[in-house]
Amino acid sequence: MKKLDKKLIKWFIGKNVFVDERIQKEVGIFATRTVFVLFVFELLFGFGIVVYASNSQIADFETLFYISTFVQAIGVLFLVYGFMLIPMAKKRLLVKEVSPEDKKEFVKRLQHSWVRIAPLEFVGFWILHSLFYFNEGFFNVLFSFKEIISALIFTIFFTLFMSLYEKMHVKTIKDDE
Amino acid sequence: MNHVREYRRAQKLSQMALAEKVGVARQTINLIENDKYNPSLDLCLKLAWELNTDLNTLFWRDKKES
Repeated sequence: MKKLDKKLIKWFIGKNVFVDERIQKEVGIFATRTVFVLFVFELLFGFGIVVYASNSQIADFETLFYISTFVQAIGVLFLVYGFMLIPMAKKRLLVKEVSPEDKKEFVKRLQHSWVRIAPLEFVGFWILHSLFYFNEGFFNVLFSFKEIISALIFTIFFTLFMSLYEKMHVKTIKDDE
Repeated sequence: MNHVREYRRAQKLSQMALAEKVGVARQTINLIENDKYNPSLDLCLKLAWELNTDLNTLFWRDKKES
């Protein structure tokens, strides 16, 4: 397996998970299943929208566009969660095991890593969120007090949530279990 | 049932220690010992080398057993 593929798996399932041949195999099985389901979903959804748009009298295509892209985004999210992340969690693939003496140090390192990337999250959210309102003047929105505060709040909550989420998946080693 | 657990215990190795030696997660060793995961040939060889034995002794089973 290429280094890039390993990095991709780590990025997807969490950087603390040890990617060995079993994880690669399981991820491969779940990914194949998910791709197939996504293909069927996109095919049926796209076909359905085309049939609906061509057979009914639609006055407002803009709303139809918004609704269909929203349903697509939510659908993809649910399918990836339902067919990949939940089964992987059930098989305990997302669990990171550490020895009891290393646990404290490991959790500390984990939290520090999320704090280290917090500025990136802040900038990412700040720019992306401002882009939503770019017809009101991108730079006016970008440097508005409200936008900076909302990016700050997002960063704080996201950092806290992610460190707690990853902490939850750290387990102490119990041999023969 | 394979003989990985017996040989690991005979070598006084924990699952974690053996996992580190062969480059896999501890859970993978546990699943192999419980016959819930079929390791690749490469991993079987690594296990046999680390446990100072051969593939036949570790993994061979009669037709009736499988």
